[in-house]
Amino acid sequence: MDSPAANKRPCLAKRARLRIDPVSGNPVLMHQEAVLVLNRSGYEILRLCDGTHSLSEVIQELQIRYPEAGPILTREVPEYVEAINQKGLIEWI
Amino acid sequence: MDLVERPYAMLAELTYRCPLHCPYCSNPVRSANQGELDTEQWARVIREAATLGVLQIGFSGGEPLQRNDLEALIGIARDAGLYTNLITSGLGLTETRAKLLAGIGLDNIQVSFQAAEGELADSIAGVRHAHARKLQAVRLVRKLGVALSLNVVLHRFNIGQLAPIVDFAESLGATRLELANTQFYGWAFRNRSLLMPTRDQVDAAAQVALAARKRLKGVMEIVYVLPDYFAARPKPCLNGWGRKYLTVNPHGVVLPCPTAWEIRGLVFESIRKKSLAWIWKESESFNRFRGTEWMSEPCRSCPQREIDFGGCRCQAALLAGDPAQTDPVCEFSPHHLLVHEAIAREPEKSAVTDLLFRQNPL
Repeated sequence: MDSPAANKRPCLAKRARLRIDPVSGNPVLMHQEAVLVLNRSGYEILRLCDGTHSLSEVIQELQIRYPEAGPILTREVPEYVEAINQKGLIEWI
Repeated sequence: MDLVERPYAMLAELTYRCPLHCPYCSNPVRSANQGELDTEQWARVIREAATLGVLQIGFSGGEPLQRNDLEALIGIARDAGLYTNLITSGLGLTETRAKLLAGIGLDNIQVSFQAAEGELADSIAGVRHAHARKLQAVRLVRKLGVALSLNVVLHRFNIGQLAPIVDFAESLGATRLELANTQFYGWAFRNRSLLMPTRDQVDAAAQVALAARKRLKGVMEIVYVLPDYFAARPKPCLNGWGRKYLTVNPHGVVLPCPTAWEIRGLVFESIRKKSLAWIWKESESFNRFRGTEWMSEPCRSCPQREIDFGGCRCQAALLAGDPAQTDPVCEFSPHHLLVHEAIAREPEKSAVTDLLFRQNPL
């Protein structure tokens, strides 16, 4: 499995796609046979997994946007990305 | 009580025509002389599906590449925001068409294989050099960077070779491998005694699949669909009739699942006459087995009734002669003996060439 090395940039796999479900208004991550319903913070994290930000840059960017979230981002963002990575839906560039 | 949710996924069976003759095909055995929907009709269905809440669409068949408007229809689905999956044999995928599909933004392509090795694969597909042509198609897909899944239908003749099949899928760079035990409907039902694996084969295959899933976690997703004849409880077919999925067949008939068309006594509506939303919400066929009110015993009082929904309606119709019965796969079904006998019976013949091969509709 690809391991999330510090200098690598996470990118949502080609077979996965983010969108807002027009019926429920919830963000969803769609892949082959499944639709994962995301919460808003999951959506914001994955939107930044576009292959141009390293993991620490994703965290920095979210800290700027959501200063009220505080230091918890440093732990939760990598955990969340790893959970999606475990599903094989992250590529490391 | 509102039993009607929105559909999440739609299977668009564009045609029943196919260059392959797989003896386990789930397409209906009876042919209907109703003609295929045209491009405009499909375009309307796809847009109506997106409005109704569908998020994912699978283009299937038969072989969807037999339709020269496939690219246009996938483009319409993409424009409607749908996740698009092309379910194909790979035969007919030229470089020009592959490039077009990649350019449109096809999200995933699922290619079927019959085995890991050419000679056996071709004998099952009933077409010479089919395997080699599939390999060509897969290489094209990989070169263009479109995500690739593989689907291998398992039965007596290939289930013993699961390990090589996994290695084969890995070597092709697939991100997902579906190991789908034959479901006995359509042509597969006709060939049931020959295709049926033994209990030992099924148990050994499950072990191989489990180990492979562990080893390849995060690299290639492995889905092993247990054969329901060998389970004690039925599968929650479609997560319930008319709950999350719908199928539109080549003639425009809207079905809860692709094989439901063969259930006698049910009348399914066509999009030639009604809107997709009406059929989903209002039609008698879609409402017939929603919820639990339609159930009889042993389902009616069963604590599992909202978990497996009484199993598969097609299987109840096929084996018990009545779609409203408990799926005979269930150990509590009064017809369970039929399933037991089907597993236990040794086939009179035993060669691939003894199978009844799928024919194209007239």
